[in-house]
Amino acid sequence: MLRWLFERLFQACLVIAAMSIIVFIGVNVIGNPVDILIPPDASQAERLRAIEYLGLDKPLWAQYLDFLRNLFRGDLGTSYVYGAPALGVILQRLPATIELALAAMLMAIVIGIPLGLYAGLRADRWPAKLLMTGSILGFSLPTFWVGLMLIMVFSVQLGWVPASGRGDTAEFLGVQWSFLTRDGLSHLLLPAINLSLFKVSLVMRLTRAGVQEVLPQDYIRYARARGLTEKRVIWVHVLKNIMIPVVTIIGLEFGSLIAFSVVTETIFAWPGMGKLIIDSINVLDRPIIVAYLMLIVLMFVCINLIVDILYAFLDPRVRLSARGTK
Amino acid sequence: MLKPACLATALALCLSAPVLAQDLTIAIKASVDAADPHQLYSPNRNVQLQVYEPLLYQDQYLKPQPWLATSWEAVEPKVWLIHLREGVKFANGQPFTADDVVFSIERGLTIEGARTYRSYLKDIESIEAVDPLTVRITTKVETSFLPENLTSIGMVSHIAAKDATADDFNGGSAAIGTGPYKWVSWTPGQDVRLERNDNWWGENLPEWEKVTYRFIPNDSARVAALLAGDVDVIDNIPGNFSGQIRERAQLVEAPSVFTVYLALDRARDVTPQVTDSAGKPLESNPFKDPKVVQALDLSINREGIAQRIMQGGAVPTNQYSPDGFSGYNVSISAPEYNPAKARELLAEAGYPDGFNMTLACYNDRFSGDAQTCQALASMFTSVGVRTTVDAMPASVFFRRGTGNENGSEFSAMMAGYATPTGSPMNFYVALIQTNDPKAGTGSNNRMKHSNPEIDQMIKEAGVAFDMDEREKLLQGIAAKAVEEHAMLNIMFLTSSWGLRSDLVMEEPRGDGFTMIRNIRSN
Repeated sequence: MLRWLFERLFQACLVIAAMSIIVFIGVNVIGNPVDILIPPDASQAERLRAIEYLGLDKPLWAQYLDFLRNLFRGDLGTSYVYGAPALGVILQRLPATIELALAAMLMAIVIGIPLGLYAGLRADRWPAKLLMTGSILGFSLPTFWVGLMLIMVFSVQLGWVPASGRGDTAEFLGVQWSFLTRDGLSHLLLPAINLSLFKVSLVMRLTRAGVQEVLPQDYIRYARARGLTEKRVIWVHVLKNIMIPVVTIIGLEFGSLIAFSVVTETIFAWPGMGKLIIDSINVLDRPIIVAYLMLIVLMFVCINLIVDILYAFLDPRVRLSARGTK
Repeated sequence: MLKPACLATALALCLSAPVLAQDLTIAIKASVDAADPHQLYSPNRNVQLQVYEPLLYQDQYLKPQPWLATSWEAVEPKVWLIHLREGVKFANGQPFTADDVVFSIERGLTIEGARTYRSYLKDIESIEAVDPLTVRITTKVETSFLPENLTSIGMVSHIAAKDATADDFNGGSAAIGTGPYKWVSWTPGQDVRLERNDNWWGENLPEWEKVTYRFIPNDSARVAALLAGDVDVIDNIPGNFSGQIRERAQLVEAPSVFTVYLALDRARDVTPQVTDSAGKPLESNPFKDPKVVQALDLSINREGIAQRIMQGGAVPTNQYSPDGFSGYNVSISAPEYNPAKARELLAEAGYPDGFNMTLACYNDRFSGDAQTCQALASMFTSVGVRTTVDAMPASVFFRRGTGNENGSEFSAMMAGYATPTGSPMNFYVALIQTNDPKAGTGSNNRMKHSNPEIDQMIKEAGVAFDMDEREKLLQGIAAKAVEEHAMLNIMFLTSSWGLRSDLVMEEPRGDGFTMIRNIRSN
């Protein structure tokens, strides 16, 4: 288990190193951030000063070596735009994104799994068919459009919830959270729904497919023959066996929720990381781009790790084979 | 006994949470990305102006007006005396004096960072306090544009802002200005919160106690926030939303100094992105022939672009300053749209079958940029200059526009320009004066336009200390540049705001900034 963990971490380091080189070269090929940062009437001398200040006058390999040197001191560079440590700028935005992603994921689980179970167990009834048709909409409607529609209906027409922003926040564990205040919760509702729509459909369809695959199997029939209650058959025997694909998907999708919630964040003016990375790419703020991508790679590695550990709990076969390799 | 009271209070708090009469929420498109007032970025200035006032205030036409400085004069060509207003105090009660001016300007000239005010302060050789209310500035070169360049930088306290860090400016000890508002907090990506400074020296204290500037970059979301009543004021309304705002709220518009222009490579003998109808590079640069340039100018339907593409969100022009602003020249005739004449001119110039060219433009700077580029291309194509559009993000555009030692990669480019000072002088110096790194001129003149006569006129205007005479010179440069087609200017973007129906906005500014002072309830 420990060796496997080290292998994973080593792989992650390789990915990070490769990625940082790609970003360095990529940004350099696209353009010079100074052209975007300085005012259009800046003189040539001012332009040179800015280039020198950002260290862009050095050859690319020297810039990369500087970056590596600082990295070992835990310094991921200073943002060209914010003039503050890149990691700090990103971490400041992280809680908002995590909060939104967690809320959306929670909805996906709480709504998606029961609905999927229902649709699988009562596949012939019309509500199940309706749910399945509805989930197609959940997949195919663009997040962008749904977000705007949600705002138009629930904020502009009905006036039930605010249109955008994060609302009042309260401090918990030294971080500001929206879900702790009433105002914050009302701000969180629409973006979370918007972000979760796709995931609800996904989880629902996965659960349904799993249920239909498991139901005709022998062990379910035996469980029923043993006289177990229908409740126990469904919630223990069926559900536990269909959880593996669902957990995998939830894990991966959680990562993508955090990394790519940019559309929802933009429409609802949610001050998360997604907006930050897009802005940073537009102005070629290399330190932020590198730090952000490093963070995301690390996050995916961690999520995969957690998913693997969860497997072991859910599926005895995985547990046993892991023991075997020791 | 206590419990019901607590519940009642909680309930009352919940119910009264929506908008208090004395609060104002403004949603802006561009996010503020620093609290330090000396890191130059227009969206930051927009908000910082309410807190850190400049020596000279810009009116709605961005012309300098007395503010913290009541008068200024050049006692010698290179020596200026600035007289400060009496009785001005910072928000913490400390008097505003010459020491603060010296400190602020010197800080602007020495601060580290990629974006600084050096571009506007670069002429300053030294600055000293003569007495508490007088400052002497010595410039490196003779310039009559020092006042314009002093309109942008905000004044900070020489005590509170000494050795201040970025955090000190974000609601901390250094966040002290002379303006009608105090900087309470800035949350990156979210908002800036301000609180009224009841000790403000000005006469009409704004009626809003607490003001929040929220950042909503998405146009539809910003409009929705206004219509939903989440915010009271929004800025930057794209043309396609103006009808909706007019109908359900209130629309305020003002011409801005943001100029959309077309620059052609008229300097090189062979230009890279122009070919004959067979696709072979042309041996000579067609833009060196004034007739070809004039033909292109005549083929642009500026009115159509402003009305159709920008949906009314722009004012068509061929000038360098909008009406009412410095440099606007009444005697310059309105741009002509005459495709028939354009075809004739092309034939006369020896291109009866036209030629092929590529028009480069950016597609992420203002709403309607790529569409305007498309429209220009089809207009050129219709007179025989078959034009392909190459639209790209600004980050790529500027690199390719600057090019390498052989010059720009482009032959024709559409871009936009706006200066914080609002003076056409910055436009002339940066974009049409001959590129000369030593003198710092033509820094943004990517197509290397050069006309010694215009250069001379710009130099003369720079040292004209009589304001009326200087204005005449500036207008003369505009006339000359339009006549010579130094650049083909297309339109000025319109600054626009959406307001709750019961609000009034006075003096909408030509730089699109939202001044809280100018917003009041009806």
